Amino acid sequence: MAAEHGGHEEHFPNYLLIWFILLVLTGTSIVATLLVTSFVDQLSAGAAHVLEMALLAFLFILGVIKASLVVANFMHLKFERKFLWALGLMALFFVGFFLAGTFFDLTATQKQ
Amino acid sequence: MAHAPAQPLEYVEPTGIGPPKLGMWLFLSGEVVLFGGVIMTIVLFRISFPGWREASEHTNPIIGSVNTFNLLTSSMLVALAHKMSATGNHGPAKLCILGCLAFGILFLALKWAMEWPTEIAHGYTIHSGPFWQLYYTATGLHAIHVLIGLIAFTVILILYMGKWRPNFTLEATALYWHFVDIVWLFLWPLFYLS
Repeated sequence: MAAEHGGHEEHFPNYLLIWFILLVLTGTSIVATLLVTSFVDQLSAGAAHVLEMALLAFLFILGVIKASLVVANFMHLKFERKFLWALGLMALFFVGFFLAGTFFDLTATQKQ
Repeated sequence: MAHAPAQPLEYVEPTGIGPPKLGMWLFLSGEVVLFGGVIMTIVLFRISFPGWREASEHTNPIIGSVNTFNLLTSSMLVALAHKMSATGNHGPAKLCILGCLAFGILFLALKWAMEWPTEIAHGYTIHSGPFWQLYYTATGLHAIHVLIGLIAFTVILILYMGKWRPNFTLEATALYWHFVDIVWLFLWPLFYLS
């Protein structure tokens, strides 16, 4: 749906559908956690650690998908000019830049 | 010497994006760096700190999950409020803002009146190790952002009850609120699920 607002056309996605998808993804996170925690104690320490890290990665990916849905639809970024995309990507670049520095420092500390 | 008549200044937005929206996006890009650093610190500790899982078992995943529902719903309601306001449906728009406020207040009430007091009563304070230091710092910083959003929406709703129409103010504040929602989408699995 599109509407005139402040002299420019605005688009409005189906917010209820996006909200429902977000809730389904949230439910998926909970179910995955319950499944893993139900039998992680029966595994060896090494296997349990690998499974926990896999769960962490899965939950983080679901978080990224949910955040993308919110940014694209609720925050209307998919209808916005590329300038705002550049602004967001620049911020994410700096987060990655600082993180990379921290990782290098962590690796150096562990070697010592 | 005759002077040419002064020409009225015409404001041209070089980016094609209105000042309130552009200002909010600039502010949020700074917030991305702030919370991005916090979240990545938590991820690093989650990977390298062996006692993380044992500590996270003492948080309340039910309250955490209910609060996820609260923020997702309030985010959807404020998006609807913006749509209603832009299309001239001011009555439903006010109701949506009121609903957003209700879910936001419920979020803070569960966190500050139920969750934190219970954890502190069980001896899990900010001095109880790396997990709890990060937990109270990250969720506390996030909760302050929720509080600021609630104050902004309360002011908007009070003014909206009169003849004032929020237009871009509501849109900019909604952007802020959605960002606060996004931050929680990462804090929730890190502290309550993993």
